[in-house]
Amino acid sequence: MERYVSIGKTNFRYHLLPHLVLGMLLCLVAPLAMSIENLNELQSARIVELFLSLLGVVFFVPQFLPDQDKDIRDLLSSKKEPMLTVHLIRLLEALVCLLILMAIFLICLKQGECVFDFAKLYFGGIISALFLGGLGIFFYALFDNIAIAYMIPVLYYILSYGAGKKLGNFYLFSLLRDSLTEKYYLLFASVILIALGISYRCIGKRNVIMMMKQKG
Amino acid sequence: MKNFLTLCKIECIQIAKSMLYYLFIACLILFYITQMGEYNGVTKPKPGAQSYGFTYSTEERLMMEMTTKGLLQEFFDNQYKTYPFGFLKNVVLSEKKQEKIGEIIEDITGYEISELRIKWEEKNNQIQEDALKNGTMIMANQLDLEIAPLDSISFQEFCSQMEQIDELIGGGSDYQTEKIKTSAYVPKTYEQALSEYEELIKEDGIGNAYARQFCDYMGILLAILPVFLAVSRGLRDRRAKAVQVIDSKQAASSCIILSRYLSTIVMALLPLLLLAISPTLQTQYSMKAVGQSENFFTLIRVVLWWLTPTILLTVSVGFFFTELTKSASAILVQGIWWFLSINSNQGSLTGMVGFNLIPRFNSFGNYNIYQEVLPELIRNRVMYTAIAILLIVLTIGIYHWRRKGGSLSHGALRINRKNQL
Repeated sequence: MERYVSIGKTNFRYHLLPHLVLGMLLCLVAPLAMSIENLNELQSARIVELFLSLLGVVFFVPQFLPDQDKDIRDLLSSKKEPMLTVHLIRLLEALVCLLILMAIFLICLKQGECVFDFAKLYFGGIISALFLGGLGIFFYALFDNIAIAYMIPVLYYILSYGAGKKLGNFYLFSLLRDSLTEKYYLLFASVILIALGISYRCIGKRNVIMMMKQKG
Repeated sequence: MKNFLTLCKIECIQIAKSMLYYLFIACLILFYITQMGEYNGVTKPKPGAQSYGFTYSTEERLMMEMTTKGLLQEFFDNQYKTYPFGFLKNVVLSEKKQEKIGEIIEDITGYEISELRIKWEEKNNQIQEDALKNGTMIMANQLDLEIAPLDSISFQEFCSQMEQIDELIGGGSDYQTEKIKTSAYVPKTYEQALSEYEELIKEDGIGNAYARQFCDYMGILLAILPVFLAVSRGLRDRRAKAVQVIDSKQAASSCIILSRYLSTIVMALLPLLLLAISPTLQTQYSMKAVGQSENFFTLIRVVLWWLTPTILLTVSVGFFFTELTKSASAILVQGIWWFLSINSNQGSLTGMVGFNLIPRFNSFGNYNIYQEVLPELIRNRVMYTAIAILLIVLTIGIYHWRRKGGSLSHGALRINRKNQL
């Protein structure tokens, strides 16, 4: 347990903290772009979906950034603690940051006399952020390129912005249509994407190719 | 110079081989196909048609009526569109402020708010019933209560009342005098449509008109996509552990950075120019069909001067912040810039320029609006080119300083003199 706490502390201090500051800045900028007082359900959903969903990109996409360098990755792999544990700790910390920041923001909305179902917006916002983050994690693992990892969720966000209906059950801003159904699909897809991304990163590209060759 | 060209060639090959570049091209093509759609050519308006499109009216009474219509809609929805920092912000007012606006509406229209509310609810119900019966969508501008301002109120008085409303909302709303002047959007007559057609084929040119729309759409994407190419390039040396090898080379820092910069710009422009070929041929054919001719490079020329500054700036931001922080923070910076730029243009999508990174011209034709905003557009493009050049010069400076052993450690600038070249 002590080891896990130590890994968590190091990750928070040297990796997650700047991203947390960025996430907080994003929340502070939101009132400049959108009113956060006296909003109804739909207007509150708009601010959560359009703005807070981006927190997922800020917190989750840099999941593999600390071991971007191959030497560091090899060093981490040689340690007693499996890489999977390290990745899960990082993921958990990012998730906790997202949960806390989202909750604080929604409480601020409530303080501003906005009328909305807290649980529905909280759930919806977290899922949208998680899906964008999941996309980033998956493509980061696949291409090992941080630029691609950021590009894909940002493009998906733009796509949802412009051609929402065509995305069907994977529409990112479904709360704007007062629908929660899409969120279950997004949640399922997020779990799959994150699981695939982390597994692929832990197993490694070479090992996957070797396993495929052995099976072939 | 030979060194520089060799480096440019190597950089271009590197970009062309990267997966990111193919994603970049795929996004551009996908966006072009889904947003621009098919080119349908230009036809001369015929008398007796149902509609010839819309235009702005300069009639003061009409402006007052249209502003009142918009005000009533926003008042009953309690949702006011504003642009306080140049980008859209929907403001919801407290009951107290709503009451004050209600009093102003009563003064202007001569109706009690309670009467207007009943009318509004009746109209709302009627529209919903009609929509259910006919299976049609409810349009935002359908809720017209047909309430006009009192005849006794002059345009100046009306504007001053509206300015009060603007203050209550927090500024930047549709009730500023300048905005009121562009509020009367009326159907075009046959004569107006015919004169616009003549203007299009004789003065403007179909290629020019299409190019503006093309630039409008592609500008949205080009204000964000190239930053990924730039960040990827900026981080590549470190990933490939080639930093020290490159640092020890004789090539000047300016030569290294500029070759990377120009290669990224060229490679970002290349798919755009290829995409412009098809509409060029189509617009050339259209011009011939109406008995006119246009320079073959008209469309490409507009695309180059309109979109190059956007690409220059986006790539500069990418290079600058990547070199400064040695991280992908440029994506966040450019992402925020893109978000604010795209949201600032929600009011009018045609001829909205200002200091926006993404100037909008989301319509075919409208030559008069284009002529009006052209000086503003040129200023905008020159300004962004200048900022881009400044950023890339700063990037060269930072790169050179790092090469000499400088580093950013715990928020302080440090230099390791032992590492100096």
